Amino acid sequence: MDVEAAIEDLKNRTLAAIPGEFARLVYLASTRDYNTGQYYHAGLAFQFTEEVARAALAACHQESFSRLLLTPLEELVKELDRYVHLTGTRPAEFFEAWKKVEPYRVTVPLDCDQLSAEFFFSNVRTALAISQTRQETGRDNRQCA
Amino acid sequence: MSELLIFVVVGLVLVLLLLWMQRSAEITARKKELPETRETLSTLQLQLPSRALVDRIFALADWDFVSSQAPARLQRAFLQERRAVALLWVRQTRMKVGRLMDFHLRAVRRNVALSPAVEIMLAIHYILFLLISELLLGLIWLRGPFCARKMVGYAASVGEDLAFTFGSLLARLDPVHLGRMKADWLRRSAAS
Repeated sequence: MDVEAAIEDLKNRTLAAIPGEFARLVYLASTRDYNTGQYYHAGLAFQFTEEVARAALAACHQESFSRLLLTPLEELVKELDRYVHLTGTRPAEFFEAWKKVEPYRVTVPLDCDQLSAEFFFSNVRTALAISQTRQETGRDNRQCA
Repeated sequence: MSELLIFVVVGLVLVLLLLWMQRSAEITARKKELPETRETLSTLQLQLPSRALVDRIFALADWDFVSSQAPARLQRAFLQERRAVALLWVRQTRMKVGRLMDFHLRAVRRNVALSPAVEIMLAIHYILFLLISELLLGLIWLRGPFCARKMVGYAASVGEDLAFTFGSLLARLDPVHLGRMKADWLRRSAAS
């Protein structure tokens, strides 16, 4: 029951303010300690308990990941474009970094199965390539004009 | 003598067909139990990939989008990526169904009084699934993931039927006994 309340609280107060599913996924993954896999959120833990906060973060992370996993590629490209815009990074820099470092790999929930993870990585790689090509084509067209 | 043999074979085929139809009807009627069945399989780490994920992997809409938006180089890369994921799905599903069969043979069959009809149907489903998955591996490898969509749907259905049947047999077990079996199975899985 507490976990349900914590999930609602997290969705209404924090996640609702983050535009785009990709940004929400990155945010939720970042609340996790990479060494232990445990989630931590000071405000939520203060309001509920650490254990409840952890469970709520894990549930929302899983939900966000599942939503993106089942998103058609066309929508995923739009989500990615939205996220690039939100970060304020120069698109060329963003694509370079994401292709080299592959930070999207750490956005996968801990108990995710191999097939889902591989499918997600593959889709993000394709979305990145399409988005980058569109950016470059747009830039070239602007330069020609 | 040869006429008698033909009659016996035809009779056998008809009996198997009837059993198959009866089994399909039973499965449809008991689909309501699916959430519990899925939960049981999930705790044993034997659940199959969800149908929504399978539909997404083989969704033609993705190919339509890539082929209309991306240059040829990206189209080739996408097909290669999706083919690898599709092949992974076939291999993982086959492995999971194989483990389900293994679990059935090792644990469940010794504890549940099964009718021979159920055993025959399980064997037929399992052999059919193995045949389809072998065909699928070849088809996806040769012609890509989007040419195999009908067969994928069929393979997924047969796999789900098998998982449902195994899950239903598990659900009939005494919870205490099932708990012991789960612990034993998970310990053995971790060791192997």
